[in-house]
Parts: sequence; C-alpha cells; structure tokens
Amino acid sequence: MEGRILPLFVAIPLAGAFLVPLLSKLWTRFADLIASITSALLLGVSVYGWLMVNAGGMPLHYWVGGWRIIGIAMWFDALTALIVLIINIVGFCASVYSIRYLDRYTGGRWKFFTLLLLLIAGLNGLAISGDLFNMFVFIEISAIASYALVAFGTEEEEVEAAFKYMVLGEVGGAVLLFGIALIYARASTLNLAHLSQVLAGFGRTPFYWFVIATLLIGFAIKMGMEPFHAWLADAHFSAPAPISAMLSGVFIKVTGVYAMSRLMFNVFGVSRAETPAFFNLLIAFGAVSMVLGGLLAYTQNDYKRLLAYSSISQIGYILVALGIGNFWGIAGALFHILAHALGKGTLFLASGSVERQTGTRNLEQLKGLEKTMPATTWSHILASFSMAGLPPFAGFFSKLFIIIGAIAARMYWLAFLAALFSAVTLGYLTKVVNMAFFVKQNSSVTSTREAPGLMVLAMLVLVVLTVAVGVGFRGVLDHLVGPAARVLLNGLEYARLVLGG
Amino acid sequence: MLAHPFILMVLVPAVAGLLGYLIGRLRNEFSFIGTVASLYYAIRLFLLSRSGEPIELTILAIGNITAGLRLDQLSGFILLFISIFTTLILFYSFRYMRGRESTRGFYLYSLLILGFANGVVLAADLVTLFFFWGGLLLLLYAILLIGRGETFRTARKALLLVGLSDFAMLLGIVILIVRTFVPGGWIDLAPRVPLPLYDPAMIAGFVLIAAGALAKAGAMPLHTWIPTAAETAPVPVLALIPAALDKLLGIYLLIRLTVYMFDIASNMVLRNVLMAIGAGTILFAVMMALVQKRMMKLLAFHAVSQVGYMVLGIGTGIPVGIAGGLFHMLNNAVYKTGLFLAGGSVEHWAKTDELEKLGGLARQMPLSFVSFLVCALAIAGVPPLNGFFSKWMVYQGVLAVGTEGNRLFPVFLVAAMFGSVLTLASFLKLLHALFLGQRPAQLERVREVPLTMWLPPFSLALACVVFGVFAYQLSLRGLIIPGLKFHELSLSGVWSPIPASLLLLAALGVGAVLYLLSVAVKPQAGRTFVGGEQIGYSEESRVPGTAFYSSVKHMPIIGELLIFGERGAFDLYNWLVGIFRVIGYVFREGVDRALKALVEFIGRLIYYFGLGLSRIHTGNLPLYLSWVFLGAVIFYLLLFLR
Repeated sequence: MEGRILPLFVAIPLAGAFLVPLLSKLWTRFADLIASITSALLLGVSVYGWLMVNAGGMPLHYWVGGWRIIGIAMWFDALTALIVLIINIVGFCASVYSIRYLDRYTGGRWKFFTLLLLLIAGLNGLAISGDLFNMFVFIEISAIASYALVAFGTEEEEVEAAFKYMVLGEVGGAVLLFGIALIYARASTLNLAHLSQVLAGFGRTPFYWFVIATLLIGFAIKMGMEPFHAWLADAHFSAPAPISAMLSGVFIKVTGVYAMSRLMFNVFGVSRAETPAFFNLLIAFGAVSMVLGGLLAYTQNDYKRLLAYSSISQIGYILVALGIGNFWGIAGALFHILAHALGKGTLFLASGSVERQTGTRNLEQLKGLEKTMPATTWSHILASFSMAGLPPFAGFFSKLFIIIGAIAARMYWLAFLAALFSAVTLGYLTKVVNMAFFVKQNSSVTSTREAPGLMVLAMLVLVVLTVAVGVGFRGVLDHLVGPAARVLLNGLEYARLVLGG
Repeated sequence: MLAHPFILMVLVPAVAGLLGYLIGRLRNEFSFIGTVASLYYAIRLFLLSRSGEPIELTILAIGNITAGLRLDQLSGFILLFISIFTTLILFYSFRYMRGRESTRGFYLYSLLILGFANGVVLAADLVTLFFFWGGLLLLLYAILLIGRGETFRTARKALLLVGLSDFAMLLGIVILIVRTFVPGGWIDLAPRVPLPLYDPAMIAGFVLIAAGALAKAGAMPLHTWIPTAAETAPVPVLALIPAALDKLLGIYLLIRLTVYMFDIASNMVLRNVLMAIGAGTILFAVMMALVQKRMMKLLAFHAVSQVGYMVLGIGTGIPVGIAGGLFHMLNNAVYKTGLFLAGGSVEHWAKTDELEKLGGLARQMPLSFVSFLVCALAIAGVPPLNGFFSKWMVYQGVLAVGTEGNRLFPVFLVAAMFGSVLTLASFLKLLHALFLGQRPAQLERVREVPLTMWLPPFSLALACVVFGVFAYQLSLRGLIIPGLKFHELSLSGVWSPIPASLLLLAALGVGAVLYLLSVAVKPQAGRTFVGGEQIGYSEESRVPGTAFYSSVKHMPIIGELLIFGERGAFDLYNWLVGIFRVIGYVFREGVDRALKALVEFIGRLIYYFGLGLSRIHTGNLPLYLSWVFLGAVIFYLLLFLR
C-alpha cells in the first residue's frame, strides 16, 4: 500500500526544529508551543499509521521520487508502528514536561527544544527508513542531538559525561559505518530488501559472521549492553530529566535493539534453528547485563543513577527475550520495550520533579515527600510496580511472556533468573520509595509543594498508559505487539513484501 | 453479564469502597452497604451451591482458551464466611477506627480486599485466580501502610515475603500450563480427573503453588511479616487479614491443590513434607508466643501456630484429616478473630497492649472478658468447644497415617498435642495478665466498650460454642463434608459433644453449689489460753495456711530441698517454661537470627558486589574504551572465529 504520510514522520519534527529558533526570537514561549504541537502532531500521525496498517493488514511503503531500490525507501509495517508509537508517546510527554521543567535553567529554551525535536526526528527517521545508509544517518542525527542535550546543563560533570558519551558513541558509529562499508563493498546495494536477497545468495560464509559481529558491536554500544555500557549511567544521569526519559525509555531501544533486530531478523535472516550462535550470544550478554545492571542499581544512592543502571538491567531482559527466539520470547521483548519505555519514562520524570522541587537527588537527604508530593509519589510507586513485574501493570505481562517463552524453550534457569531479578528490581525501586517518600523525618531538604500541573500531567499520562496496557494486554498483544513480533519471526518474508508490493 | 451475581460479588464491594473513599462523610454507610450486599449475595450463592452442581460463568474466551468463574460447594462455603467475617470486623471498626489516622484508606482497602478475595474464591482456573491473588498483594501493601510507627517497613517486609511466594506461584502456574496444555483452557482448579503427581515437572508445579498457598496462610518460614505487622497495624487490619481472610484463602487454595487438582494421597513424600511443615509450625510458633510480652504479638504468633494444625491435617491425605484441617481453618478464623477483636477492645481503652501494664479488667469489661475466655478455651482445645473437635479430627488423621505404615507419625502427633498444651499455658498467662490479677491504678476508669464493639467478639464466642456442640449436625454435615469430595467420614472413637456438654454443665452446676456451700461455712475462731489465762485476739495467733509445715524446713537435707522448691526449682511448670524459653531463645538466636544473618549476608554480598562494580566505574575513558575492546574481541571470538 502506498503510504503518502510516511515522509511526515521526518518532515514534521524537522520543520518544528527549524521554526523554533526563528519564532522564539519573537516570543520565547513559541518554543514550548511549537515543540508540544509538533510532538502531538507526530503522535497523531503515528496512531493513524498504526490504524492503517492494522486495518489493511498490509505494510505502507513510499519510494522518494519514485526511484525503486536505488532511491530512498520508507517502510511502515507492524513493527515500525509499535516503535513510532513508543517514540512519539514518550516524546510528547517529554515535550510537555519540559515546559515547566526548563525553569531550572537560565535561558537556552529554544536550543533545548530544537535539539529535542532533532532527536525525535532522528528516531522517527530510523524507524521508517528502508535502507541501511539512511538508518546510519538517522542514528547519527539522533546521537549527535543527544550528546548536546546531555551537556545541556553545562556544569563540569555534565560536560564530562557528554564527552565520554560522545567518544564511546562515535566509536560505535564508526564500527557501524565500517560494517556497512563491508556490506556495500561486497553486495553493492544498501536497500534492506534487496540486500537481504543478495545476502541470502552468499550463504553462511565467514564474511556473513564477520559482518554480523561488527554490526553487533556498534549496536551493543548504542544500547548499553554489558560490557559496552560504561557511558550510559553517566550520560543518563547527567542529562535533564525529560531527556533521560527519552534516552533510557526510547533512544537505547530504538537505535540499539530495534535497528539490530530489523537488520538481523529481516535482512540477515537469523533464526533460532539455523543460527543458534547469534541467539546464544544475546542470551549470554543479556543475562550478564540483567544481573550486573541490577546489582549496580542496588547500591546507588542517587535517584537518577539508580534508574540509569536499572535501564541496563532491563535492556538485559529485552536481549534475553530476543535470544529465546520463539514467539513468546520476541513478543515479550517487544512488550517489554513498550512497558519499559512507559515505566522508566515515568520514573525519570518523577526523579526530575523531585529534583526540581527539592534541589537534590541524593536519596539519603530526601525524606517524607509523600505528604507534599502525592502525585509524584504514586506515579513512582505504580511505575515501580510495573517495572518489577507486578500484576496488573504492563511490566507484569512482558515478564510473564518472557518467562513463558523461556519455559517453552526449556531454559528453566533463565525463567528462574528472570523471576529472581524481578525481586531485585522491586528491592531497589522500593528502596527509593522508602528513602525518599515515606520516611517521616525532619530534614532540611524537603519540598512544600507538588510539581507544577503540566509536569504532573505528563507523568500521569504515562502512568495511565502503563495501567491501560496492563489491563488491556490482550488487545495490545493482538493488535500491536503480536503483529510486530510476527514481522521479526517471518524474517526474509520482508524482502518479498517490499519488492513484491 | 455485569449483573451476574458472580461479577457483583467482586464489583459491589469495590465500588462501595471507592464511593466511600470519594464521599468521605458517607464512608461508614457505603462500607456497610458494600459488606452487607456482599453478604447477601454470598448467602444466595451458598444456598445455590447446595444443589451440588457447579455453576460456571465464562469471562474471556479466546480461541480454545477460556478464563472464567465457577461456584461449587467448597467455594460457596468459603465465600459465605469471607463475607461474614468482613462484615463483623467492619462493624467493629466503625467505632474502633473513629478518629484514627488514615481511616479513609482503611475502608477503601478493606472493601477492595473483600472484592478481590471473593474473586479468588470464585476463580475457575489458576490464571484468573492469580490475577486476583496478585491484586491482594498490592492491597496488603497498601493496607499495612496504615497504623502507627514505621508502617512502611512492615509493608515492605510483607510485600517482599508475600511477593516472593507469589513469584514462586507464578512460576508453578506457568510450569503446569506448559506441561499440561490442553485445548479448552488454562489450568482448571477442579478438573474432572486429578492431575498425576509423580512426574518431576508436575511435582515442581505443585510445590511452587503450594508454597504460595502456605505463605498466604502464614505457615513457617514465610510467616515473619505477621508478628511485625502486629506491632504497627491497627487491630481490625490484624483481625481481617492474618486472622480471617488469609487463612480462608490460603487453606482454600491448599485444599483445591491437594484434593481437587491433584490427589495428595498418592505421594507419601509430599505428605510427609506437608505434615512436617505443619508440626514444626505448631511447635515453634507457640514457643515464640510463650515468651512474648505484648498481647497483639502473642496473638499473632498463635495465628501462625494454628495454621500448623490445618497444614498437618491436610498433609495427612486421609479424608478425616483433611476435613479436620478445613474445619480447623473455620474454627480458627472464628476464635482468632474473636480474640483479636476482644483484645482490641482492651487495647482501645488502655491505649497499650503491653501485658505488664494491664490486668484485672474482668469486672469492668465482663462481656469482653466472657468472649475472650470462651475463644481462649476454644483455641486451647478445651471440650466441648469447636477447637477441640477439629484438633481431634486432625489427630485421628495422623493416627490413620500411622496405620498406613508411616514411621514418622508419633513425632507429628506428639508435636501437635504438645503444641495444644503450650497453647493452653500461654492463654492462661494472657487471661491472667489481661482480666485477672491486680489492676494497675491508671486503669480504674475503664468501662465496657459500646455495643458495636462487644457484639462482634461475643457473637464469635457464641459461634465457638455452637460449632463445637453441634459439630456433627451443623458444621460437618452442613459445611465441611459437602465442600470436600468425600461423601462420608469414618470417625473412630466415641465423642458425642451434646451429652458431654450436658455433663460439663452439670459439673459446673455442682461446682457452683459447692462454692456457695463453702462460702456459707465461715472459719471459726476459738479462744486461746496460755497457762490458764485467756489472751485476746492478736495478729500473732493467726496461722496462715502457708506456714503450716514450716517446721519441716528445719529438718536437714529435706529442708534445703524445700527451700529450693519454694523458690520454684521443682515446679514442673517453671521447668517447662524454662526449657521452652531456652528452646525459644535458641530458636530465635540460632535459627531466626541465622536466617536473618543469611538474608543480611546475601543482601550485603549483593551490596558489596555492586559496590565493587561501582568502584571499577572510575570515569576513566581509556578504561571504558578497553572494556569495549574486550567485548568486541569476545564477539568476534564467539561469532566469527568459532
């Protein structure tokens, strides 16, 4: 099906990013307005695209300029629908939240929103792009915007974190470019669908494995898998809270997990039966990330650093689930991407509210905020329950699917480990609840007021969605996550759909 | 479908709770309506279930998989008592909770708990059951945040302990689903043919789900949040959750597992494990109870100890034992709720539950005293009260296990009987400390509590008598036996409660007559002559009974021993208490502390491991790059150079 809306996913945020600096010269608040309207429009377009794909049952495609194969290809199937929905839900909440959150900083409002819109443009572009080089370009657009956003506060610590993030991120980018160059040298095409057919003709040669390993290193850095994770905690910790929510909730999963899965499953055609080495590698590194990330989070006394390490642990869950490789595993991974984006987004926004109202994130200084900040407290608690996998929240079902997948694949130890680290997750998130929100004790660091209405609204939207996805898990599985998982499971079917359509 | 009574059982209390929360002024009214409506539907469903045919309602049907609700005789019986207990306890709390903190939350959570508990009992399959079960976990966390002191610690402890067992249960459910997947549904709670219990995966599933049920009921070793909750939670919360609903739900699931889903009788090892858990729980918890100095904590340990009898009875796998366990669950809920509520009335006036500061309240609070006395005698297993009858059935079950050739049965029997004796001893102490003995000066102005507070425990005490005296006619035939799949029980031994109670009443009458007679005979004072001269009354001439044998003290050796004895050295009770104190001490210091130390050790291990991991994150960029390089080498090794 021809999808004329597809260029909008990139055009809208780019136009917004262009308008923000121009119009905010007239009135600084135009920056807020444009960012919110742009992200709301994007959310609308995403929902529309999802409904189209869901109703028609056929993916949307668009060839820029009508040049097939050699031109720029855009592609929107069930998996893309899931990913753009996640990007734009969290993106919308982050933009709305930032309006009041930015009061902390003096000036620079238009720079912030321009960069945020560029970040969103890069992520959306990556999700819809149908050729390898464009994927790389969009990864880099969003990555460069995120380096600048991490340094936004321009304190020493933040600049240092941004620098490290940039060095490691660019190492990843360089490795990716190297892998892409190898592919182009050998296959002479970059269109994903065409490429997959060419690669299938080569067979499982050493070249095939070398390219997979090279690309995996690049993606591993982007997603913060152990031991490529070192930049993540510093960067997510130093960024402004809404950016942390975007990075932890969306960025690492789209540029890391989504891009990797799209290439590996749909282009390289990996499958549990034929290439077990790839899947075992994901399980091994995923399990290590899950364990080490969880342990690292347990010891932190800084609200945001704890959440950042927790993200590494949750990425571990997603990788393990992908590595299981059957339907429940992959559906669990995609469901967990959704649940984690909503839950971790809420948690980072809550940490931002606490920091804005009290001026600190040190858990040993924060006390008794439940009385004065009930909405923030309960957003945090509900999101924690979701992250720890308690029913009936979204996180419960993702972990349930992962455990079902592990048991169906007869990996009982993995099921056990997943259940055990749910308890560890609950442990470190309730630690925050107890230390910051419930201990009744006089402390110099306390807040007398709830966070401003717009910030609370952004958190509540995410919390309500967490509950709704959990309660309506059946619908989400049938219409959003299930079809997306089938796209990955069908593997090389992708090329036939693109080129036949 | 919304108007179906099954759905209403879940929805009506929840909606009433929410309305009461929103419209704070009509909180009591809405709570009352919610519980009474639940009670009304429970009675209707109970009567409906008597026909014997299960009634089904499908909620979700996706392809072959159906999830739904079902009413049979067992769930009808449990539903009825869930509503009865909740109604009594909420009735009590209208006065008790007045003016306390977080009352709004209390009513909201209690009613939601009622709705979810109804849902658990009505669930027809394990997945539906787990949905409600998980909801109860969150509500437990929420309701334990109410109270005084560091409630959030209690709540967190309960959340982690119960949450752990819920994870175990979830794992068990998934194992069962994967292993036995048949078109037609999730794992049914009452399949036509019980599942086999010799395949390792099925046994693992059984054990994991049973762990969830046992933790809910409060059996060792996942019980420790209950005594902690006794320190912070208000009395109605204690009466509602650990005393009444958790027992009903935990034992309900255990019966479903052992009688309906599997046939426990087919696996001797599992039976022994269950019986050992039961016997151990009885003995260790009651010893812990003996050394407590606070009423609520003492009662909480008994709430744990009594679970032992139920688990022991069900673990026997013999019909009479299982019926005894189920009957004991009902009886325990009756008298334990009564004890918590009557004790709560004392605490309500005295503002403390420390035993040293209480005493001598029998005259001022006669109705509470009588309720407490009857419930205490019932828990101690004094005939003809209900506690005796169910314990007696459990003993019979254990004896029957012995006739099957189980060598361990004397251990279980002795543990259970011993536990009973110690329960009596600890309740004598408690009765003395609360109602008899000397009254402290600050309690002079204590009065009886108002009707809404004395009536619930009083009616529960009455129920103790009725369930005991008419055990065959009312409790067993009417409630217990239809709830199980066995049609008739073979009760051996002769115990007919009605004549026995008549005899007991006669004996009490004779005792009363003797007492009156002894009061009528007054001590006679004669005149004292010394050397033919009469001397007047003097205090010196009064001989107190205790000094009668004082001359014996001057005899060698025997005298020494007697002086020793006077100090209590030969008192068997002191010896026993001493021994148990030592055992309790060793248990607390040895096992409890060791477990705690182990948990702390693991926690610290995780902490230091994490700390070590944090330490190597020095912020040094070349180091980070070298990690990346290391990871890259591993990737190439694993994928390319295989």
